[in-house]
Amino acid sequence: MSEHLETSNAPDADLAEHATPKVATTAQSQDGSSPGAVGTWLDGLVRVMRLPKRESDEIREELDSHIRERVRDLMLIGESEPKAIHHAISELGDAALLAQRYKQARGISQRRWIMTAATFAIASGALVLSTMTLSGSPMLPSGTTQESQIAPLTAMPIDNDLLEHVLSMKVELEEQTQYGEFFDMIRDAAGGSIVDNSVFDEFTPDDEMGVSANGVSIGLILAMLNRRFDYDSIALLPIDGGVQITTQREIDHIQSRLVAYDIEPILDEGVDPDELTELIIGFVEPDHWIDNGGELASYQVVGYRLFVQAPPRFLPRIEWMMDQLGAEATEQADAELNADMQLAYFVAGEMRSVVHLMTQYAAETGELPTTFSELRGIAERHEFSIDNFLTPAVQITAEWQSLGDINLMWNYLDFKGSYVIVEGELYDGTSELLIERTPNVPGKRIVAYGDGHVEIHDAPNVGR
Amino acid sequence: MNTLEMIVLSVIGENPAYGYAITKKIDARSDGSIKAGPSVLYPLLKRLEKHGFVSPSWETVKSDRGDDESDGRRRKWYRLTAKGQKRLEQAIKSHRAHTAMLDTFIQAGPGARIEEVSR
Repeated sequence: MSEHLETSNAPDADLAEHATPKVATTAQSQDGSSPGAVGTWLDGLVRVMRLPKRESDEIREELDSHIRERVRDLMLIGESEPKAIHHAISELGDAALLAQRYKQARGISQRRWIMTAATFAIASGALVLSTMTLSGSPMLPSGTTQESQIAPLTAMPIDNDLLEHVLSMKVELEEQTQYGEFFDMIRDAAGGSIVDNSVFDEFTPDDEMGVSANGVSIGLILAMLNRRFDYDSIALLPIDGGVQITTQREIDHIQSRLVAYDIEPILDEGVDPDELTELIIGFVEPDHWIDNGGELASYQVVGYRLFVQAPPRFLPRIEWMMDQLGAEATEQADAELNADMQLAYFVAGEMRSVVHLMTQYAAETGELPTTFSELRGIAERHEFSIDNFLTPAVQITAEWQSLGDINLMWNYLDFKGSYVIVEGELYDGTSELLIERTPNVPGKRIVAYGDGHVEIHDAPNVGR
Repeated sequence: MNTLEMIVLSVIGENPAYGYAITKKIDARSDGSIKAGPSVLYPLLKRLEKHGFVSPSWETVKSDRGDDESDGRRRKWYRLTAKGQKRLEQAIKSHRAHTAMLDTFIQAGPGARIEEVSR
């Protein structure tokens, strides 16, 4: 194992049990080797772990108990209390790494897998010019950029002539008017339309709207209707030759895209990456982040890059928050980031996923996967697809199979033209995936550690 | 299976134990040559618990002196489950087979050529 206690000659358990030097772990102190340091360290660990409270409380209690007993034993063999506390805490190592190990022990984060599966191709919507949705909120000017043309649910940009024309069109409705008939009015106003009625869970085309209106705009009617539907609100998406009548949910999925932000200036300010991401998912459409139980948006921090997979309407608020933290130095980086480096980051993310998959497989079976189908199988069991990885399909070699023990060193995988070396022990999170060369990322050496940390280095002459 | 996992399951299989006692037993049993650091041991115990190989229970610690600050704190004990017992038996079987296989080379005696695994 890579982690070791430094001590030996500790008293046996029975002796320690009855000898009771007083260990006051709750006292306050300013130095790093005082009783107060234990609580501080444990508090920090709990914060970093971000586990459910009951679970993190139990871990804290167990480690607190461990530290108390360890300190008591060290004091019995002559160490002063401050030194013993310092000693005991140092044996637990880096809190962030320990937190990662706990997380890994609990299972692979689905969020992480999904995020690392993101591809550039997701940023689709070539036909999408802009979109329109109404939630009954006051009309606000658009704050969106050219790249972010979908309106937030709370805003109502009218920067598209066709949409403006459709939304301003006045129609007459009776209480018996059906949704399908209303959609026909929209089609007539737009000159054409596409409607996939299957996306509407709240009503069918034959349902009566129950709205009576005379000379009222389509926009106002939509605003009123959408108070009923929340996230399944009716939305209009301009397309070639008319509008698509759909839901906000559908549009978000269609337009979801991947962007990268340079967050180095923010991190340099001392902001923890977890604090940054918690801020974002706590304020920007919190219900839709996978981390919060949603299904739409995800993120990942790799080095000094924050990758966000989300609909464009999320982005202005994310950017505003980062502006508050990093001032002018923060800017959307996807356009400026070197294309090779972008690819390198993605490959690194995928490598990290592969590490997690192999680790999970080993945890469940006690062996490493020996075929690609096994790797895919474990991925599918966790509702994760690796089929769209940018990296070519993983082929596990005979060498891997013959060394099929997670304690062995120098196993390697063949990534169809690029080689990967797995060093160390997968189990304890210290594994290193070393991509020695990747055809599309010449000169980059990507190291994905089992604890989730990824580094990308310039390595023009790396080779087997 | 990881070596440490097999050792920990083995220790817990002998008697239920809590984390700190496990580290000391491993240290004592191996004469200090195997050290199960807490940063590895506790996540391992978490994983074993998650997979149902061990089952936890909490014990409230009460010292003999009564005025000790340890009073009221709790220890988490681990007990080997039937599933864990089965996994341990599989690991032991696999380990013995592996050792026997290695023995066939080692028994060739000193001077026997040993192929080195290289990158």
